[in-house]
Amino acid sequence: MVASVLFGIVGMFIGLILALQLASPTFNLGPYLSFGRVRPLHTNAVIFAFVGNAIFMGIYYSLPRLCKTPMFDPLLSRLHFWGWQLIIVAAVITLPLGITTTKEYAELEWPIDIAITLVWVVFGINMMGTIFKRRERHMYVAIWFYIGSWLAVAVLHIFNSFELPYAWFGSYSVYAGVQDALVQWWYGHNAVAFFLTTPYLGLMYYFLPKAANRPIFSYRLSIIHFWALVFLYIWAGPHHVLNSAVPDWAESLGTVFSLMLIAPSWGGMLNGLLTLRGAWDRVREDAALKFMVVAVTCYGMAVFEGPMLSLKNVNAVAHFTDYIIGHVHVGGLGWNGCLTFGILYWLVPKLYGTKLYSQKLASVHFWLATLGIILYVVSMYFAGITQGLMWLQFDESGEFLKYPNFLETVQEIMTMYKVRVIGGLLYFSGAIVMVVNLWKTAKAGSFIACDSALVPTKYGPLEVNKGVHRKLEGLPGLFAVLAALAILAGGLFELIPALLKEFKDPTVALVEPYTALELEGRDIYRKEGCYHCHSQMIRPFRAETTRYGDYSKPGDYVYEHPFLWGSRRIGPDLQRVGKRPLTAHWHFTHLIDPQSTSQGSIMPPYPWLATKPLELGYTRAKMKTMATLGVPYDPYQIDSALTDLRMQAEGIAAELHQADPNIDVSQWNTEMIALIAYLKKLGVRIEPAADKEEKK
Amino acid sequence: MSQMLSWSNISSPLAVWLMVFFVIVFMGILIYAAIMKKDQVHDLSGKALDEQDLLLEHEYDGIKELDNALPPWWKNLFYVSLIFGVIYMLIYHTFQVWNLPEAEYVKELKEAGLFQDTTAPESPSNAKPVLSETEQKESMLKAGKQVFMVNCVACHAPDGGGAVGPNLCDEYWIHGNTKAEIIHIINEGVLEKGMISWKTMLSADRIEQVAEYIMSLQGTTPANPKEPQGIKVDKS
Repeated sequence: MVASVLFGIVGMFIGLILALQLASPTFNLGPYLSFGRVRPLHTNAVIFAFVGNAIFMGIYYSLPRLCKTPMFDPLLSRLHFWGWQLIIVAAVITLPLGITTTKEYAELEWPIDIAITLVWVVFGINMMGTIFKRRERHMYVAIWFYIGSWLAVAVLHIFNSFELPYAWFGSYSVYAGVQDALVQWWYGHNAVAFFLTTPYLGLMYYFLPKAANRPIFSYRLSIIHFWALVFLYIWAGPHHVLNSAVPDWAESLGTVFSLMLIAPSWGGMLNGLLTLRGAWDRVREDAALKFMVVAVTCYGMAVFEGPMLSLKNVNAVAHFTDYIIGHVHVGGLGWNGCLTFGILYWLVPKLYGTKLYSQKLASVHFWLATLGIILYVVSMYFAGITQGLMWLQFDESGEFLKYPNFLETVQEIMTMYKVRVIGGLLYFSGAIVMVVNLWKTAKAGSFIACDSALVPTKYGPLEVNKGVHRKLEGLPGLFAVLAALAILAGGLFELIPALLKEFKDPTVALVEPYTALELEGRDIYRKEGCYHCHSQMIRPFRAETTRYGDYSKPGDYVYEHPFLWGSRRIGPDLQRVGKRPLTAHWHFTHLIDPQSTSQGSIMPPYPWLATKPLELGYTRAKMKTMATLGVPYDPYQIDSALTDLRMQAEGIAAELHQADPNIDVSQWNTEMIALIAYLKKLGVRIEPAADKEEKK
Repeated sequence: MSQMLSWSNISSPLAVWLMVFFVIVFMGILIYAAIMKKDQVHDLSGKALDEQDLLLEHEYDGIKELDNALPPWWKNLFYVSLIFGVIYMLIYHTFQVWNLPEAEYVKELKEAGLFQDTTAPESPSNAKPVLSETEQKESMLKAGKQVFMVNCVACHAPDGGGAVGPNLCDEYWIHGNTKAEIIHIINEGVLEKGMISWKTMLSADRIEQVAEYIMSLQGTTPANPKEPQGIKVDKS
């Protein structure tokens, strides 16, 4: 157990350093690691490496102490730790290589998904085992949160990762289009809920009263807000796809449940802040408490913002903009980051039986972090609102868009992007200061292998006649079952109807299936992570249909395994880019050097696409997989895939050659050609006449 | 109307009602439990009890818990948000008082006078107000600029300085500088050079407007002008 605590901290430092270093290339588009590939690495490193390891560290420290027993099995602890670190290493290797499922925060490919499941089960057995052999009759509130989080993450991970592999490192989501979007954001939202929020509330419930040496403000509040959170959270997923092609009723449920979440979320904040009553004088001096206060405050802010952003009209402006980036960083930098720092400042001296090396350095870190968060978040709010409004604005005549050129809206917020870099740098340097401080602290003391709290004692007293919930706290099995039911309810009533709809009333296709070449091009689009900056979801607003073309309907997405709606428009929407009057040669020039065709564009260049040969070994396997998933390819089509592909590719190569004689026609099998084919296909619907016939 | 009968429309109220039911039951249990649990300890004797009275007897690894009552504003906030949720669903889905996004979009189009109802007879609103010549020219340039910004900037740059396509601001022209010639090029394109034919994508009106706008670019100084191409044509 004790070893794991240590490992957890080490792993966390790796995660921390990784996460923060990776944030920098996100600011400066490096030529080597392009944004589209690094962004998933950043999100995965922060969520699973940094926050994940911090959770495990917190649980491995607090759980034995709360249960008055050592961890269930030291071997499982080690397996869990090393398994998790291996998964992180795998992520660091695969994501820059472009091996991705392209589902946000679930980008890791299926072999890694299976590994995650196994490690998670190991963790679960270890945790529940410890709880079952506890020497305390009742479970403390932190443990409720640990159990709830573990269950929810297990369910989410498994259901979102249903994908059909075509090779060792390639697969397609079994869900298509709208269904995939619903499942993905059910996952995406609840990854935030049950990975970034509820485990951290558990940690807060242990470390905050410990550090403050104060009793928890209200036991009753903790009961209510725990059950309300685990029940309500799951439903709110569709608020990530408001005003989109998902069914209206699902969107409205997303809105409504998000609003109902304000009070339960604030319950956690209240219990945290009010626990500090009577300890505020110490908050001024103690670094750990200072960070915890900032963390809990940021939590309160983020969970207020979330429901507000779930209102459809607010969402119309804020969605796809930097506002959301600001919002998640209130949570990420503020809540998760600062709570972790607070815990570390309290825990490390304790583990090494010494005092913190320097309160002054900790204070410096505190101000760097706070200032960093403010600069980062405020600049993103400003950028988000500015750009969001510019996108929607019509000129005085009311007839035309005020800013028809997308780049104008990008140029407008460039200053804010620079401010963000400063904010990020401050926050990062603060973390470096902390690493030094903690390192010195650890060196000054020696590691205490075993804490007196762990010496097995006799059972705590069994309380009788103390109410139903008190009894329940003594029954971890039943508790877990009830928590699972609360968590599953949202999935049962929201997801399953949406998924079953396809069987009863399949969406009429508005598009043709992709040809072999287009399918390969789509995989290039996925591999390069284009969807991180380009959405494929035109919302039913006049400003959007004027700018991008007809709004998206479920029928546009019937063959989209997985969906590629994206969540941010750093560049313009590409849903109907194929309908735009752009020639193959324009795409070619644009992809090699975006600034040559679009002055002031911040898109990274993709020169390697023009020379990298297209991998054709899996084309047929890919089509077969798609056919299994319901895309109507006939066997003949699959057999002749490579011939068809070559024909189409040569056509594009010839077109390019005509426009620029320097481009060789024999270069038909490049990634560039496939990507162009895909882009030119995007948004091209079946002719209306054919559509009508199909309906009859 | 046939859309009204589709599965999602019929069953959405069902899912909605299930959710309403579920929320009420679940929250009812929670709130009931909260209220029943010896609430209001503080005002039995009329004066606020101190912390010792609220301290629960259990402790975990040194952590004790108080049993403070729920802050009333917090409780009210929770009630209000629950009620809001139910009302929201009723308004949008059961009684459909307010518009869902698609209906809202139709309304937005109607307000802008753009809604095309194919079944309706030709609307009389096509009669445009009579404009003076300068006004006409002005509105034409404005419209032309819009068309240009949406369709042409990719190759000719926002200020007309040229990129993939030629510079439109200088005095050098490859295919002629008269309005008729420009309209011809826009209509037919110069396919071998990458300029596509626009006649299927833009109406004749729009093409005329953008041609007018392109001509107005003459003599402006773009930020990054492309080197001259074609023959120099003197200003007439």
